[in-house]
Amino acid sequence: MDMIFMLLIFYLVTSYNPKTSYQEKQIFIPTPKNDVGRSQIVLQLTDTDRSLWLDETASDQVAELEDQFGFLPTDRLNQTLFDLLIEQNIVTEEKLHRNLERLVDQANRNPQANYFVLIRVPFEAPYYRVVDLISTISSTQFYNIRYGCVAGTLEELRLSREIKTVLVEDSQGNRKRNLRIEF
Amino acid sequence: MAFIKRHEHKELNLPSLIDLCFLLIIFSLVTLPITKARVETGHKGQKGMESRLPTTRLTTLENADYVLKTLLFEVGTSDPKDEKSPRIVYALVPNGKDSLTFQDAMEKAVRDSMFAEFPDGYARLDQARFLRLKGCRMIRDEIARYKSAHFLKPSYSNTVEIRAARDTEFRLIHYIMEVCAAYGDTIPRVVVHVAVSSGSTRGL
Repeated sequence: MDMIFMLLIFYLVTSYNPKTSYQEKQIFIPTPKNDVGRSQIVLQLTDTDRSLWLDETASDQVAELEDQFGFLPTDRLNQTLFDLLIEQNIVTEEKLHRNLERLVDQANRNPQANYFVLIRVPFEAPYYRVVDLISTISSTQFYNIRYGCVAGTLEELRLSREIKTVLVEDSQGNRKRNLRIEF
Repeated sequence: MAFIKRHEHKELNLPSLIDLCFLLIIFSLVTLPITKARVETGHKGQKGMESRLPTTRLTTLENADYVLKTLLFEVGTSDPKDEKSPRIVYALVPNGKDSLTFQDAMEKAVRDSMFAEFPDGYARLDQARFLRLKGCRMIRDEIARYKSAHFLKPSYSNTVEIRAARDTEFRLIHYIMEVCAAYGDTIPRVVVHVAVSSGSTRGL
């Protein structure tokens, strides 16, 4: 009787354990296009665990500095603007993820809104960092955050031809300044 | 004659129960490590690759016993015990009948020498030298071949899949994306396999 009971327990245990499953999921990443692009958020990953987060507040920061230092030659103005962007928009990994979670919450609260996040990644960065970001971004309810992933470094930003703001008018006639970076 | 009935007191047979508990503990200890080890992927061991994929918090799940549906690039290391050893890329091509499993495709890739090693420091090479690497040529050729045979017109369902160890340098992933992008909207996206984590870990 004990033996039968034992065999029954053995069968139950071994039939349950192998079902503990390792599973995989697929994440889609659009292939890059070599084209002028617009995005609400630009993330520049660096070789350390810090990243550059550029959103609409960066446009305001740059606009303010342009008003103050617009008299400088282009290359010096570029350098000044770049230094400002780095100083005020470099975030830690934790803060980056909090920002993304806030973005996802915002997207979930506004189903009609559409966002595009551009992630720039250095060649040597491990790709799990990108996967990590994309898995957060794509967890929206209404799939209204699109994303793109390209290779790029902070140094390329520093050496960009021009960093400036441009005045843009939307469909409702509202005007605002958008940050424009020309590589 | 009166017969005295002996009532047998049924008591809990404690020693047997203790033996049973010990047996259960031993079974659990023995079977748990076995179930964690997955299907061997063959050549030079990409064993334990699953534990080295990046993880995601997304909850939709997919069975890991996977039948290949499209061209897949598996990126591992030449020494499976050393994650810093040079990368090896295997090109896994499905058969036309949608019946080739991942395991079988890996064995076929090894048999047909459809793999290439990327040297140490490839992520730092200049573009010209990087493009001349055997691995890059293999990736370009396999995507071109597969695209000619299967991706006859632009479609959102045309994808190339990537399954890579989590520390794989972005340059390799980016190169595969770039080669696909060269065909415009014909291959509009790549699919990356990630492991699903149960907790709230990030990219671990």
